[in-house]
Amino acid sequence: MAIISSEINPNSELFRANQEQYEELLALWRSRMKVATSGGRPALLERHQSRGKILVRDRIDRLVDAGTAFLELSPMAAWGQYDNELPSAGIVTGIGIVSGYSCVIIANDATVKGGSFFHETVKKHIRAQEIAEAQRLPVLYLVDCGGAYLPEQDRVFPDRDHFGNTFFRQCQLSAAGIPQISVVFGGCTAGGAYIPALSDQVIMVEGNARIHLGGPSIVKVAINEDVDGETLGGARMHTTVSGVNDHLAADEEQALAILRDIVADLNMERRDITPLNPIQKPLYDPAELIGVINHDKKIPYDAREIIARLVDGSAFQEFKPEWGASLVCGWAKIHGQPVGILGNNGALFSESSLKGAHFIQLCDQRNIPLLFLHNITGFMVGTEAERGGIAKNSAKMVYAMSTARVPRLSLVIGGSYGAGNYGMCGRGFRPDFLFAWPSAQVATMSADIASNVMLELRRSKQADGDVPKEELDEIEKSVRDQYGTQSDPYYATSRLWDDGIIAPEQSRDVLGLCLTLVRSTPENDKFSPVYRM
Amino acid sequence: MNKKVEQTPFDKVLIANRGEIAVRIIKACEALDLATVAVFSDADREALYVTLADYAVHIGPADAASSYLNMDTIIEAAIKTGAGAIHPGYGFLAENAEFARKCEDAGIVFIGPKAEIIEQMGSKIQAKALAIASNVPVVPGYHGEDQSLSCLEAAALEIGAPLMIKASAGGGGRGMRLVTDLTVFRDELALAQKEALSAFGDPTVLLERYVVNGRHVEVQVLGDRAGNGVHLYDRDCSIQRKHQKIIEEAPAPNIHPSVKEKMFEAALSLSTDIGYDSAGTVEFMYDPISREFYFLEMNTRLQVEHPVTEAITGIDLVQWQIRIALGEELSFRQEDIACIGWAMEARITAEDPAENYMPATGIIQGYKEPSGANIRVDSGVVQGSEISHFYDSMLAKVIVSADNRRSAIRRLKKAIDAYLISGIQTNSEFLIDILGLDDFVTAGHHTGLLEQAFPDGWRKSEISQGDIAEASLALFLFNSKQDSADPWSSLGAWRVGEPAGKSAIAYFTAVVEGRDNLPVTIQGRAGNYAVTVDSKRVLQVKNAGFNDGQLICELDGLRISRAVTFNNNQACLQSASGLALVCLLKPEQVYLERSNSQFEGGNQVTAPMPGLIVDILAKKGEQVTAGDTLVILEAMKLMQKLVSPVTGIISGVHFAAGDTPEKGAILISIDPENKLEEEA
Repeated sequence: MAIISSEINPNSELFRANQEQYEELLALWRSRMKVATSGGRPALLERHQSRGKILVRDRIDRLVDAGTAFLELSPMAAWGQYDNELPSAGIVTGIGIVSGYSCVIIANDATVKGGSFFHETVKKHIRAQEIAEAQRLPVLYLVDCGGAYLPEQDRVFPDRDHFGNTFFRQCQLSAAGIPQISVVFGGCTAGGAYIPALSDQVIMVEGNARIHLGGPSIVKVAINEDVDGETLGGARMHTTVSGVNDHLAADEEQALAILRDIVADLNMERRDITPLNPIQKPLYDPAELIGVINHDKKIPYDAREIIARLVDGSAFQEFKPEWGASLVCGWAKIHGQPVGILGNNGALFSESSLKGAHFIQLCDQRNIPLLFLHNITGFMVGTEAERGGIAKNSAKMVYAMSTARVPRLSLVIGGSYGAGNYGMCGRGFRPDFLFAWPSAQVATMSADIASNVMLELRRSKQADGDVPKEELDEIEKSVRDQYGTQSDPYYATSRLWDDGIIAPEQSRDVLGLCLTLVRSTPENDKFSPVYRM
Repeated sequence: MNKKVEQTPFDKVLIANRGEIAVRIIKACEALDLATVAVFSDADREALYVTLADYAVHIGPADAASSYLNMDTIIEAAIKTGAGAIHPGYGFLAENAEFARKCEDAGIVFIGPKAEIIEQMGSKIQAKALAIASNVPVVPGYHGEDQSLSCLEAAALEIGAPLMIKASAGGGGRGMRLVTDLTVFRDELALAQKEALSAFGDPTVLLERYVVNGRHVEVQVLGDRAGNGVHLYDRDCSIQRKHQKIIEEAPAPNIHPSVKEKMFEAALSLSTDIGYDSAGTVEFMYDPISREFYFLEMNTRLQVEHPVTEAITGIDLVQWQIRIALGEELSFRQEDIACIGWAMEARITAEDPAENYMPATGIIQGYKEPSGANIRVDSGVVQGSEISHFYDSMLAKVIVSADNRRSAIRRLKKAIDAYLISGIQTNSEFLIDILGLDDFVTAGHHTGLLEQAFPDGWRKSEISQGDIAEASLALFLFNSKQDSADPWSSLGAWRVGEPAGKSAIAYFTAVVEGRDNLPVTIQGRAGNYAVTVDSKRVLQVKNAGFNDGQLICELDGLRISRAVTFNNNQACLQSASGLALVCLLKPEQVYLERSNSQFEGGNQVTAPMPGLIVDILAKKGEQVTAGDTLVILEAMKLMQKLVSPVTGIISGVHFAAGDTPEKGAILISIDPENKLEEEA
């Protein structure tokens, strides 16, 4: 592999200006990240802890192996929605190492609306289960929730990808030999009760944990029985009488310790993909990435400059560098794991599409995961392009990408517009992981182009070609507002269009974690389901 | 008696011993170009001395009585390997006249004095009579053959308190009991007799006045078979714990030369009068107030502390023992022997001085001897050596020499501090504390110094929270696999929210030696860490990492480096206040165990260590009072009284005399009195 030689001068004015501008994006990202990962209001945090309960991310810190990574997914889900009172959508999901095994962790945050399920909560929950299924990771549910958020029930309950689907997936995962284990920390009513009830193994914390299909108030209304919550569904009752629970824990620390103990003996194995050679850091500091990306979107930058700051030793074996130059393709390693990278250097032409399709097939044949670095306005338009068969040639790339059997990762670093988003493995193509930078923009097209398109459409409807200026201004403003709002990366991450916004500097590590994970996923096998008795 | 005066020279020596002294003797034999044969029990198969010897013979199971004390097997081993001589070392068969005779009978040279000298000096009563005959002053006491209780009690009354009960056949502190109050004389006598019987097969005791604040001073003598005899000056061995020496020096400090001369003269006249023909030691009790000295006993063997004499005289005592046995005459006369400089020795033992010198067992995980000019280490262990409860707890001796006493003390402290032994509790910190005692530094010490200086027992200086934090961090980094190729490990506790100040916290329960368990948290990764101990932030560092066994980090810009070793999830960090031994437990190691706590009752007698039950003084159904002795356990050659923790009725006796319970075994169960009443 050749080592990429950077053309960028970190002391140049442009670099510094870029850095300064991006630093503002990062400041915003940090402040929002802090809010999103701090749970509910201080009074609620205090009340939670006064009950002997541990905060959700603290539970995860205590659960995962000390000194190992936890890859939290979509921490800014629901950002800006529900008056911004639903940090992380009330649920923390991610991948961590527990007793040496990679596991998916799904943990309710009871300090956020009592841990109840909103639309994004469900979506995040399902996304984590989807990853567990794809990567064959045991799922550890840290349950502390009151079921569906009733005022939003039409967006939570009835549809195919709503709450019911989480339970369907739980059964399917278990049946596929992927352990489902729950620790119940608080009250689990109605839907919440099914998370533990459908788990292979359950741990309940004495005093705080409750499982009941109907709580005391519903019981009173339904059958006029007066009963307190502890008698109805307390941990001790479920351990010694109903058998709903398998392990009784005196407190949360012990519950988490029991969970670690159970995971230690799950007998799950992953493929050993340990690199043979020592890992080399990039020759160029990933911290420089924010100076590489031009703040002015009209000034292009070379995808190789990004790649040089992501890959081991900045070494890159480029494929077809002299042909289809607007798509940079080549092989590299990240944290020792092989990866085939596709990065945009402008719009996709027929040649670059064909090159991309060819490259994807090579990676598929060689069992090398794909990484798409999105910075694309779209496929080329115009007579020349159409006459050159851009429609079928771009489709070849989309087709190759869609049917590749190797793991696919996407990182949206800049714009990801229209069919370009399709060709580069957008969310609709189910990449194994998709992360975005604070500079990302995902939409059918940019606000500039969209407003011009709409103005052109309006003008073409007017026979005499004279549309009042006020109307055109009104159209432009509304289209720009819509595209501006909706292509904002926080709008996207709030709706789970990605697995989270990460700082450019974190990208190498995040990709390394993901590649190590997806490459170690074992082949599917036959396992037995567990029927709770 | 059949007596062979002329003995055949030999070229192969069997060493009827183990541990450091076996190593020492092997080295001496090698210097004299003699081949060596080691003997070993089941417990010593992998021991250092076994690997060093030219030949090695297995002589039986771990317990000493079936192996190192089994005379016939050892002689058989010598015959089988063609060894012409046996060196007994110290302890075991070193002062056993019967063994010396058996060697002679088998045509094997016993490297030591003649059997009858061993016999004479082996009996304290006879030895005292011989001392008196040679005009050597003796301590007032009772050495009679009438061992009846009434006679011994009458004698005790006459001698008065404080007095010492000693096993007549004993040595090395075993079977010795100090009586400061005559009302408990009977109890102590019974224990001394029991110990004497079990240790030496002879319950005969003698009584002696105990010199208050006396010093133990001894004179090394050397005699050959041609009748030449010299002394090699004196040693002070007053620093003793449980009547066993732990720090020795040569020469003895703070004794007027005229007194010393008298002492040398006395020692030499006794050894000459009896025709002493090997290396031996005449022990005295020196009264620093009256400047009188009294004969205690003569040890007809090599002493543990012989190296300090070697250091000041330049004479290799072990080699001379062997050369004398080979028939050589001493090549020097008294006036040729100079006493130059000062030498001091400390015995490193596997025991916990803070827990009544409880013997420690286990495997030595980390091991590094101190090195440097004038530092000598006589050790029987290496990394990986297993220390069992079967034998003496001494692991090694550190011997230093210097121009004067103060320099020797400093050097010895430094050498002990640099001596790294981890995986097993040792007395190192205790030794360093003793070396710093004013009374010791100014040579105002005596045999009771340790009881006086540490009236409630010695306490380890408490390691600080900062030390605990550093040791915890070191262990955390050691366990964190930062060099792994797997980013899930190599990135440490990576979190996406870290740039927003949301870094991960690792939670541990720290097991800190000498303290209660403490919660410890470590926050951060990639060189930057904040450590809390007991919910208080005590350490915040940057650029933390390891380099060559050192934890290196920056604390407010100050670069810190600490030596640290690891074994079995335990960090052993060298700090200003001593060794910080910290073990970090994972949640499942703490919280899963917790439910078992209900079984830890205060109504049981458990074995504090593995050992042999000598006697059980209670029967099922008997009424006992809290503090009553219920079991006598022998472990690491020391008798221990195990007392009832409560008042009540014995509900179960789970072992019998002769059993060897494991550590923690429940020996006796007691139904507490109040419980019975409640039920009634």
